[in-house]
Amino acid sequence: LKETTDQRKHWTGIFILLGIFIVFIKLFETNLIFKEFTLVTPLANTPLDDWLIYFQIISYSGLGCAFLAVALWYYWGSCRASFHNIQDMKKAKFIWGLLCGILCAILLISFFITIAQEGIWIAYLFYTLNILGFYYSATVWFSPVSVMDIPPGSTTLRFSR
Amino acid sequence: MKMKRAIIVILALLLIPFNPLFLAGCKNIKVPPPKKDPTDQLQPVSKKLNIDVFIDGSVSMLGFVSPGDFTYYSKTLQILQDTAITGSPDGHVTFSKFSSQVNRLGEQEVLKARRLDFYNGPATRIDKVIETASDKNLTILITDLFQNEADTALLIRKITDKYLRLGLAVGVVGIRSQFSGQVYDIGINDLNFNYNSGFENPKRFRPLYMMLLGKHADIENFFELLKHNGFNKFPETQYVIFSPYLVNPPPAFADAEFETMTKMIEISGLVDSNIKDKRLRQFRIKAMNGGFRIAFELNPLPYTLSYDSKQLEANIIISKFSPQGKTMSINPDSNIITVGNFSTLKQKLVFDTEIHSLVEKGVYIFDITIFPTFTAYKNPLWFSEWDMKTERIAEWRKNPLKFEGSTTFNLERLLTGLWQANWQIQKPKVAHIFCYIENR
Repeated sequence: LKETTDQRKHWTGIFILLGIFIVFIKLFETNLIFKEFTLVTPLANTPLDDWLIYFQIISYSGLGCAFLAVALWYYWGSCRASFHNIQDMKKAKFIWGLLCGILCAILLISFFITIAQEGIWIAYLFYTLNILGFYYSATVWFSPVSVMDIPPGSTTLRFSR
Repeated sequence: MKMKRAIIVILALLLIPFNPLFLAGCKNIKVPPPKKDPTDQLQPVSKKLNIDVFIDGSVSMLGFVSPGDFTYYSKTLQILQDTAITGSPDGHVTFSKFSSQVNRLGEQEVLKARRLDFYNGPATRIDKVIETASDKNLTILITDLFQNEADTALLIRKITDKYLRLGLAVGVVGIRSQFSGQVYDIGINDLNFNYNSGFENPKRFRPLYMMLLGKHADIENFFELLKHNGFNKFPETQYVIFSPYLVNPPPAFADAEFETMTKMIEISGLVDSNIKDKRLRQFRIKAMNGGFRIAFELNPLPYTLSYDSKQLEANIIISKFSPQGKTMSINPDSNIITVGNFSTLKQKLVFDTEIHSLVEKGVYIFDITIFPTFTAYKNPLWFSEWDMKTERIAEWRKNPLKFEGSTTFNLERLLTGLWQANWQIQKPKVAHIFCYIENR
């Protein structure tokens, strides 16, 4: 019963975090930083509105990939993981790192397919924040109990044990 | 306890985008859209068109009918009659004879225009036709454009006042036809020469003209109908239209491609998003200076004069819309914008627009009209080739056989005068665009 309640709490937290990132991408990154402050200069023949649509598609897709990675991590942590020795711990770290590596690869792809004349580094920063930030914060705060200490820095960052 | 803290953190994060500091720059001002300009777009062909045809009945035209009923002049009359009637199914067609006076012809009397006795008028007073013609109808004159110096100046003025000034067009079709007879009143001494063009060489045929006055689209459409009905088989036929229009449809700024753009971002939302105007593009400038090089697709109208695309000029009206909602005009000599470096490549007009020292905040409205300069226009070759060289009159006087009856006295002066008057009044444009540039 305890496990089910924890799982419900974790998934609620993951979805709230996802909502925060979605709102953050739409209102802060898109509307404020890029549309109002125009901290990016798209290429000629690319109106800002078109660039923003493109940015949002990549951002939401990246966030979707990160959510998928979190879901996989949660599924593996709650159903598949078994910890009997140090090897199992290493395996868990490897799984977390592998998912993180896949997200880094997705991040790199998003870097290559986004172009602008000026201010592109801000878009890169936001992509990193959206993809890796969501994956990291969701796995730190809302991992199953069995793997909650696997993400680096999780014991320090979590509110309390 | 843990849950409460988590909810506080989450709510705090959610509120970041709504923080007043972040929303400070979000206030949008709506700028008035560009005003409609009827001269930007060619008016369509009239659905109901009344056509008034005036046939020159002066004796100077006699030589066109004397060779017989098989001349190009005779065919011209037939084709004109057919085209006028079929070309205005919903309108009415009238025929008149003009010389020193204008007389309406009955339906059967039109046929008499192929007979010698029709041509008995003492003078060619085209100005009388212009006086009586209605500017709402398509007016067509068939004439040899026989004009002395004073006639030419008067005719240019009358056509300018009645048609060009109102944005209407003048079309001229040059036709060559067999001729045998007298050519009257050449030069200041009003000399007469006998001329026989023969039947073989069209270059020796005497020119006659169809002058069309009315809406550009109606004239262009009538040209096409004439060609379809047989003019395309005529030798050496020439066409020209003088009007406020050089291109149609007008180049769409919204569809034009930027070759380069510096320190500027194309944005939306300065004007109401429901307003769709292809002449308009909206930008935000990121520094005091910026600019772009843009390429427009040009759709030149047929029969209009050609021009040197490097000799274009921009007329710019600048106004500024302040955040308080006030529009104020800015001196065009303020040098905050330059438009130039014009060139054309494969039907595309390319030019640079540079913004300098945009200091004050607000939305700047740049109303830019691009037009060929006076010197950019090139007269078609036939204007001079069909023009009578008056310096040779002395030679013709000594040897009348050398008289060049295949030319028209004062033709170049008349046609050049017409396009020059049209340029002075209308300044035909190749593009009319509106740049809204926000400086924040």
